[in-house]
Amino acid sequence: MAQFLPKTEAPEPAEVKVGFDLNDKNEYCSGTLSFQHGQIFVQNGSEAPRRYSLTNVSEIVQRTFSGCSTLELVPQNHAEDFSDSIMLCRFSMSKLNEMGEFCKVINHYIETGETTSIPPEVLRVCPKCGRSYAKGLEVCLFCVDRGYVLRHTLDLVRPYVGKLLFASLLITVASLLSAIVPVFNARLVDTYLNSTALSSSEIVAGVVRCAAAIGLIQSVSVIFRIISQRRANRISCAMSDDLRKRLYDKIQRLSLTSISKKTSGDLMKRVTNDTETVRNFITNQGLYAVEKAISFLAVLIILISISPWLTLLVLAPAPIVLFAIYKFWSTIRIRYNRQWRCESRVNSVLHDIVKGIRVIKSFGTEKREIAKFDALCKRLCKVCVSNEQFWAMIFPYLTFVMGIGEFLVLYFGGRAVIEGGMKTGQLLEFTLYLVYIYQPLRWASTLPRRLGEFTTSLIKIFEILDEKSENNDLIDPNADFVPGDIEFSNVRFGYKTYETVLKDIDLHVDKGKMIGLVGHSGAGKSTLINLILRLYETDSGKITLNGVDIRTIPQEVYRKHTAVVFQETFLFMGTIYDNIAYARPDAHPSEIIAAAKAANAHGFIMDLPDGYNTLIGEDGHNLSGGERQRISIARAVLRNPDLLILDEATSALDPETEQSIQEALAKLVKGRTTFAIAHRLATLKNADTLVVIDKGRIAETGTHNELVAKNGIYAKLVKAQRQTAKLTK
Amino acid sequence: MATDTISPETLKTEYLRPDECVFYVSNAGFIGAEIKGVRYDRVLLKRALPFGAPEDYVCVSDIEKNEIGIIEHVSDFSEEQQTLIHKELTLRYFTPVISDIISIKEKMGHFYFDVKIGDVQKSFTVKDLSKNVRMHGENIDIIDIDGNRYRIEDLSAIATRARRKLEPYLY
Repeated sequence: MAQFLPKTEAPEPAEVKVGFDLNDKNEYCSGTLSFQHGQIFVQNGSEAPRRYSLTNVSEIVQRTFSGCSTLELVPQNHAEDFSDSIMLCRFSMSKLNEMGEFCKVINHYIETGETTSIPPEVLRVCPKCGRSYAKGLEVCLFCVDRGYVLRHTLDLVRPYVGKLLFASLLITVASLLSAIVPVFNARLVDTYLNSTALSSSEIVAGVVRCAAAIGLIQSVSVIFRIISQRRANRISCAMSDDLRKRLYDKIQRLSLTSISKKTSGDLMKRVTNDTETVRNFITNQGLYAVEKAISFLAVLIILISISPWLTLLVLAPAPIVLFAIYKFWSTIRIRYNRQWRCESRVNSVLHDIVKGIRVIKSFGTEKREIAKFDALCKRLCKVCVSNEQFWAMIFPYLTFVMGIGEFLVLYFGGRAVIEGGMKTGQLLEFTLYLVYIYQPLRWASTLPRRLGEFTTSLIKIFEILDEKSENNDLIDPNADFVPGDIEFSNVRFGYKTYETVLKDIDLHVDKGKMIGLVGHSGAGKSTLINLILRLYETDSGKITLNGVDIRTIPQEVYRKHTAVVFQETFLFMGTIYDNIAYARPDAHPSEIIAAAKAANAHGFIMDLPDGYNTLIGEDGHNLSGGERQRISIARAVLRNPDLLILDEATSALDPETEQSIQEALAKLVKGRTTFAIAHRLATLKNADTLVVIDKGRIAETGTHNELVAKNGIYAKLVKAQRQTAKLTK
Repeated sequence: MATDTISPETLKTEYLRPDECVFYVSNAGFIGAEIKGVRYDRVLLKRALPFGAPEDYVCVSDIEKNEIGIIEHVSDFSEEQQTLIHKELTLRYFTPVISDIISIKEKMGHFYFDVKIGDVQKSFTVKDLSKNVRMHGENIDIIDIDGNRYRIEDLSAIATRARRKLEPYLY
């Protein structure tokens, strides 16, 4: 099958070409793998290229190890242990996607004789920097422009622009009014207090007028401030409410793959703390920034009109401070990012401890858990202390440098007054205005810290909001769920592109029939269920309902017609009534009771003192496993689904309870298309057809008797269970 | 045996002794083994404790991942056999060792590493440092967004300049 080409014979231009990066010793190299006219060429650097014909090849497979992977050609009629496979090349995980696509091209060629190509967009690599795109994103975050934070901030405030501008206008007016006060102070000193020409009664009258004017201005300013603050608070509450809703909504819509990569502590911190940090920054700091920027400019003009050279002295330290802020910015951001990670870890561990408190207590590992949490808290404390110390070291220096301008003004201004170049009142006015100049600059010196916290939180929020939720390209908004036959056509799926979990799935299910899915753990039964439920989408092939591709039906329409009973029942905090009504909140009480009766749950519910109004905690701690399961069946009954999924619905129960639940399930499945998974084969005795899944493929289909007669995988499973049953007796 | 309280017999764990297990390289270049008189032309070797004890508890299984037995200590085997086992493990576990850190940049919640692995310069991206930078004694293992693994063997041994770049990103 393999031939080495003479060095002079270079392969023709490749139809499909990919690169590999490891040699046969697992060292970095630069090689190419190309496919052309039914042959694969392997070229590693200056080595002689190898050529492999695909004649007599059954498939190309990718085997993934830890940090690396291989590509192998499997011959037809290969040895059972694949010891006659041909190793094509080795590569790092960076090449997985590319190689997965290459495998698809080759396997398609082997099956059909057609040569397809690799669409560049599926490689998910930035054409600019060559880095991989982060999962769920279609942009390279490394190359994304610097306006990202600004754009997203504007995106957040856009719905509130009008209200924010009004609040800013009020605070600006308040600020400008306050800025007039030093003019009256100067007038008070120069016109009245230092006057020798005026009579004492005129001086008193002047002082009173000045004082009254200052009092009036300050009062109006305070009123404006109060109104502005009230407005700002109202906007900020609406904004954080909106942001939390958007984030929570997105989390609900994200795929399971995406959500399972984040801890619950992490997600909770994003929804609660990060939205709060962003809200605080935008409304408080944003408003403050507007106010201070306008008053800074206004006062600067006034100062220049009084004395340009003294103004220059005031501003002399500003470039030094701004430069220092710029230089420290990166360090401060890294430090606050580290603090964020520590806080998130503490939250996650705390969440785990609280959630798993029963396990902890039953294993008597309280001390170990306390020590673990304690260590994390100490680590967080250490990071916080280090950050505060760093800040405490930087901030006083910045304040000191900033204050130098004040000393210079007092010295040179004082000399000017003594020498007669400036009036006392003017100097007083000047020094009073310094506050308006230095306050924004001092605030700017604290900005890196606030900005560090804000950008960290904003990025964490937009990591979720920007994530692509699912492929909606195929959805037809008018498509409806019309109950009918379900057809799997050549379905192939893997949670990772390079690891196929289900392949060559062809299955026809008549409307209203019950299908029992059987197979070893990890065979792909639950994956098949996930595809039917549309929690994931097929890599190739399709699932149709009544001839319509299920991907075209909008999720909310599809889910209204499906119901699932899992092995692990999850009951929400609330009453039994609320938990059953979760499937249909508008259900009439008589329907809830009917559903509970159908699920054999009504009896035990009525034995409880509060009946259907009994409060149950998270996970329904005060109910037994069987009772919880019956509530979840009642939930499914109330849904009145056309498509029902039973995923190990009775495997965690004792035989007596199971009997009662089986009765409930028998009522539920009647007339509905049902897919049921059960390890205890006896529980599938009512199934119309049994489908045996083995290593991701459908191995056998038929009724119980047919499959036993076949003496295949199913027959072996039945025998094994009978033996186990005998042993346990 | 593993512990005094739990014997392998109790747990039905098949520990492979050097005298009943011989590894070899098959004609196709795969590692095979003859175990207790049964010939397997292709076996898989997997570390049970890749971080804690990479030289101990190496599982031997067939290509379908059915476990044949466990090597308790690789060092119990002859030198020639150890070489074969190590060669196979090196091919299964690709964890290049970082010799120098050129830069670490943070952008939009992702961390961009530019490092040197021997003479080769590599760039990779890490997301969620708390999950993907793990410390095991003196070793630091880093997993990038593609699933590649990198190791820093002994943080104190790398250049101070490089260490300073990494430290803010460790807990």
